[in-house]
Amino acid sequence: MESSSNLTQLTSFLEKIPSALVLGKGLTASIAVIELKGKGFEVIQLEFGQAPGDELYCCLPGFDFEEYKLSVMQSVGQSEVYHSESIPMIDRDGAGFKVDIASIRDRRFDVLFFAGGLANRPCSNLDLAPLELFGPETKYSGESEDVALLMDYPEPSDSAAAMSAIVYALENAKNGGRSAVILDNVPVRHLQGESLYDSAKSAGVKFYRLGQSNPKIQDSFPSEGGNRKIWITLQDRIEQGSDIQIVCDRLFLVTGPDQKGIPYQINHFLGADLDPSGFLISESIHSNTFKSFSAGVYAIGNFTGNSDLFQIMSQAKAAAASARAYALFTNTKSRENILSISEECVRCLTCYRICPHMAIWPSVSPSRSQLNSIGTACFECGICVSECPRTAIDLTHFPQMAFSSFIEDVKNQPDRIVVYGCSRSAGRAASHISLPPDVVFFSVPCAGRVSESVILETLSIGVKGLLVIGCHHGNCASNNGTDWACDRVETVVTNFLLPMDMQGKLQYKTMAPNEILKMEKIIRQFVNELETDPQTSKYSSS
Amino acid sequence: MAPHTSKNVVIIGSGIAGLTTAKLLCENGIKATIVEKSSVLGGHTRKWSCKATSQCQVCNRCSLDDVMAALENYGVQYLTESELGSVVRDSAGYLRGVKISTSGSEVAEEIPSDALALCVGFETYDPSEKLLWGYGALDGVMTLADLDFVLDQQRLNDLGNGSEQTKIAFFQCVGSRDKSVGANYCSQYCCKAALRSAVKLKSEKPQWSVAIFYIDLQVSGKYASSLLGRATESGIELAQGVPGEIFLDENKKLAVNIEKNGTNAREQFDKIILSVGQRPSASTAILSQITGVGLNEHGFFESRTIFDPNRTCAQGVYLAGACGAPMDIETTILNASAAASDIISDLSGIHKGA
Repeated sequence: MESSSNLTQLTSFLEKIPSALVLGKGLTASIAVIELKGKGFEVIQLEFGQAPGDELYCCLPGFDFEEYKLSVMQSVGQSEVYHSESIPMIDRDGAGFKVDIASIRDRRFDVLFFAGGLANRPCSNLDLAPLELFGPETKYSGESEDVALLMDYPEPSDSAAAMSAIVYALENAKNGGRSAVILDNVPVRHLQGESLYDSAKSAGVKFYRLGQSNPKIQDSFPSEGGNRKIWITLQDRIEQGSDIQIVCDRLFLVTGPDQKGIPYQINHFLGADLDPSGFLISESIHSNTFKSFSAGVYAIGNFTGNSDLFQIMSQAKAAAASARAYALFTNTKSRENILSISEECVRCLTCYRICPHMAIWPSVSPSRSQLNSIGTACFECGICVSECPRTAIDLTHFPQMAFSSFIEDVKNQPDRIVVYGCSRSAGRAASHISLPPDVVFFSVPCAGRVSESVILETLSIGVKGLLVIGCHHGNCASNNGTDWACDRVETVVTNFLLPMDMQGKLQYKTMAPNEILKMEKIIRQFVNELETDPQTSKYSSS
Repeated sequence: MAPHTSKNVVIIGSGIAGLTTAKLLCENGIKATIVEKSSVLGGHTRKWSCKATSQCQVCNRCSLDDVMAALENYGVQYLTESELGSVVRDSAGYLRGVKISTSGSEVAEEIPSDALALCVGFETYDPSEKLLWGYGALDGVMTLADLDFVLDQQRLNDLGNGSEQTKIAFFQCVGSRDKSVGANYCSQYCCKAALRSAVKLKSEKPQWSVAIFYIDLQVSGKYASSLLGRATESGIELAQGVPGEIFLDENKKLAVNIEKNGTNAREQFDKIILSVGQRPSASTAILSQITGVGLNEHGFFESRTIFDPNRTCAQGVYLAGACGAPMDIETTILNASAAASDIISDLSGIHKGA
């Protein structure tokens, strides 16, 4: 323990005590509360809806969940908890948040944590009565039984759930029961995973790997008073040949969290922060795990597609530390003038809808509503600037003027090839390469800042070619800036260049910050194509 | 950017684990000193290539560039070509500083330190240990790391044989899940790395044939379905069972014997990529002696309890990343952030800790 003089040293740097709202119930929410309190946050928990608690698994043999839960509940101690039928309206209040619930309507929170639970997904392919979902509460009774555990069917199971299921199979086998595990791949995603698998095998647990054909499952009640049996017929991928038949008393299905249970209000609130499978982005790219693109919003647990207790503990710790940094940042920095919104604004709300960081928020008033920028949440990507129909928005550090003067500059140099590159990827790599003589590189905050009008204006001054480089799709630090840029380039090519047979003049490419040689290659190829393209060379020389 | 306290944390290792730990500490107003034994920062991650086609495959390679860019805003002290010499404790046993020896200098420098984070990562298994793999002896047998170098250098054509019929195979679990080489554990990163690399190869060279030989594909989790989906869509052959030997056939081509439907068949390949596993870093043994942090049966650092994976039995000493257990970049970022979080909690004294 540190000496008492150091106790408050760190927290005293926060001008006021930071506050957090944890949305969700169950173990995940409790772990989040503990971690946030440990970082000096004042925490309020809001349980919502009728949704089930969370489904968390610990994959190690001998783990006592009840004991662990008890210890968590003790650590949480006294805590302020509210309930709500559904997820309430959430509003930005500067860099923080407010929620529309009577008892806490006047409170302001620095950060939001989505720490809700999801039920396990049911199996879509099997509509069978004998099937039980294997949950964290599924406890081995101690009686030996004939049990089968079906996993990775039809899609991969959560690895922690799958390993817990193997622990179940092992315990049953040790007690003289017969255990069959039917799977696609044996889960060993833990340092102890291999030894668990080894001991299961030596205890007599049978592992079957699913072949191409689906397993057939039949529920049978023998006519003469015997026990109900479940028959499974399958083909083992390794021991190819005749069908294998497994007869058991119980059949468990092991799946993973069901993303369909994520309330639509959360999806709406987080905008497009969903991964391809529909979970909240939190094990995300850009060294920002657990953080959503919306500044101050965090997600952990089942909502992020995770069921592993150990990983969720790490998520909660990491997110709490990141939240503390955000609170520290927003409470000590003034970034009021990062983004300006002029009188030209007609409050069409385009910027509010498309901002990936929730950094533009409307304030509604009877006299005159207005849109406000939240400097500490703003990433200065400029997507809003590019899409504003009234050109009412501008970035302070990368103003519209920067583009205009660059374009003005290039205008005076004949036959230039212009490259607009995202500062995160191409911008960083550009300093490491030497550009061909005709090429002028211009670093932009995000490819999403290259608006259609910038593209058209650049083309109109008679450049030989224009190349826009963004980060790879799905890797944009502002979520969809790269998609915006790609779409705009396509639009300009289709609507303006193609009719004039000059489509070769404009291209969009993607790269990562470390792909220095790839950037060289992209530019070289573009230059070569322009030189060999009869249409372009005709155009530029005329 | 954030106001600094007088607290300083010394981080051993500048791979993605060390840098991530430093980033989160700095963002929380704690100073960081990074000690790196080589002359360059970035560890293994720096040598790996981006696996994106035009769609990001979430390999997390670019996290390194992002975290390094974020660290430029803070006054992090970097000591390269340096190693931990000893730890300094006060009479009550609390960590007060560390001594760092830098190559070329005879005197170890003492740095005040309120916490010490071990982030020394891993080493890849050396497949030449097992002669039957043919690594180092047979042309065309390479490791995942070698492949990353080729990809990074944009020299994909080097892998081909000049014709359209180039055949490439990945062998999984080389030096992992293998008691005979002393590693009875899964290395966690290699299945995903091989799948992503294979998808990348197929996207650049659709006419090539790419096969992955595996024991069990460890790709569960939220990205599993999409990764496996992409692999099958792009026509990668996934075959269970890893051939035990690579040899040259009569045409001087790489060949393996594969059991198919109960009979042996010989198959030729132009390149065979060995997905080499993670081993504890060579420095763990000496660091264990210096710091008092124990090693587990596999040679990785031992955490205080299984529920407290980032704290150790030694007061003030923390673990982050693959020096505690094998892990991929994504998990390392999460793990290292959790380590930083523990350090912040313990140093602020709100939460009881080591």
